[in-house]
Amino acid sequence: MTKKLIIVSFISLILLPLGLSLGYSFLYSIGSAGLLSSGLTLEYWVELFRGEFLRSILYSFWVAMASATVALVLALSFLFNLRRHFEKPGTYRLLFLPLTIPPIVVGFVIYQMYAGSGIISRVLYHTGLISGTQGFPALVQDPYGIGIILAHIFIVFPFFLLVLLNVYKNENLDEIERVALSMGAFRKTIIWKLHLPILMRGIFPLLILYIIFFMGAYEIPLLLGQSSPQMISVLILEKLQRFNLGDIPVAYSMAVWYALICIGTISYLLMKYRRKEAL
Amino acid sequence: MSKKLTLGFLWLSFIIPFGLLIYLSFSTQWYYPSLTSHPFTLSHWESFFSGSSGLFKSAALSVFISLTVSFLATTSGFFISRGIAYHTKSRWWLVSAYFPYVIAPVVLAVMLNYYFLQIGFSGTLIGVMAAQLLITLPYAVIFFYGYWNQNIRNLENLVATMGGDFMQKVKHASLPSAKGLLVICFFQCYLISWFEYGLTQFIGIGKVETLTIMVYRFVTESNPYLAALAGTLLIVPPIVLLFVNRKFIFQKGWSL
Repeated sequence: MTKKLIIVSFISLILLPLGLSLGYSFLYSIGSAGLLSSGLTLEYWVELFRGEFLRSILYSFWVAMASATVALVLALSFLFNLRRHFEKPGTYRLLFLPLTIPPIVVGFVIYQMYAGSGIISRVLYHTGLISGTQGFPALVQDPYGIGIILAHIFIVFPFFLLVLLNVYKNENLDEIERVALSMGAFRKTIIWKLHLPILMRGIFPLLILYIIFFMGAYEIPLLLGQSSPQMISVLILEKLQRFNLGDIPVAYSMAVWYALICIGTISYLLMKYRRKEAL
Repeated sequence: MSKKLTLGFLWLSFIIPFGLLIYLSFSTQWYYPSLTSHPFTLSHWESFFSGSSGLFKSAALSVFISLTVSFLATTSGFFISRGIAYHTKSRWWLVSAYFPYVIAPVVLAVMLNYYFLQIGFSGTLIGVMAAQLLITLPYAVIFFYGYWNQNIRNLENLVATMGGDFMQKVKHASLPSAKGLLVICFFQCYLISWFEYGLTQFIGIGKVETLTIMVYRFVTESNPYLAALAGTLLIVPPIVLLFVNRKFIFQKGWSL
């Protein structure tokens, strides 16, 4: 009895809402539900692969890849060069600070720092390097998503570094390095052939997850993104809330595809990395 | 030397956001290109404490939502994860708990909205809490899944052998050894709820004015001073939790 109750609770509280929402969105996206339902059609799905939606997908992918890659490279650089400093409790604890700021506040802070009228621009003005806001490069609401990428890096770089420091310690990489050095290996070889493969294996699932999270980011692109192209989540919401009712089924198609990609990726990662501690 | 400089730069880049929020919350008429030559004021904080800016009500509402959601998610997640760990064999049960958690909350809200409208939850406090539970509950299930190992089973079996029923097994075997984890899960769920914006905005249609909603509202109203104040209020609980126990903020790996 208890067993059945638990399983029913799990299904009704976790799986059913998701299944129902996916089902409704799927039906809406193929023209079988909603106010403008006109019968079964794939035209809204085809719409995903052209124009605004395709640009949004590519833009989101660029921002997510750039954020994750830069954060990872930075975290690896800090790990290889400054690892000993993070053994001190004070410095180690410092890495937790950015994790205490909500994304919407990170977006706000990045805007106040990097906007044309932000702090950095003001400092440059007072040092005489620029003569006004027009002399400052567009770092927020810019075409390349630099502001969004900066905000993502601020959030995820310390997290990656914390994970890498843990992997480094758990895999006993100091000891491996000592043995390799005593066997005559060069430091470069140790980094490329020993450390990096082990560290990457540890962080790879998280890296993929964060790329997915960043692709679906909402608050930060809402504050720091430009009006076109937009990140997927921002575009989906805009299409749902604006006046053109014809865009609603396309927005639902995007939501369904995005959700399916998330579900597919997490399933693959969890089945493949079932014994890895990083996930 | 260069290593110390790099560390100094890192320290600075982590501290500046906190300083900026506090600085702006005491500023007014901060027009370009002023850095420090603008007026400073206590009026934003006074408006917070007097309740005239609506931020005090927002903060109280946010605390209420986060406490309720995290309490419900932690207690339900604890028992549901027990059931999943003990009574299911397929790994897919656990994998499926990740599904709502990995989808962007705002996209989940978009897909759920139809049903929330149908049952009258849209734009209500209970709707926002129910929506947040859809993310925090799977998180709690995933969090506790790894806890139900053979040792805990042996303890429960011991209680059962001595005539204990389900409640006694929980009271004497499971709960005492899970106290620490329950607290960590509670605060992590609290933070998920506390940080949430997109889902709260979409399901609450702006009527449920949590602090994150207020930050965005003040930004769109070109009032960076009150936005900074709301931001400062948002970072207070996580900072306190960080100093109490950093496990509340960061967990080494997901429970699998």
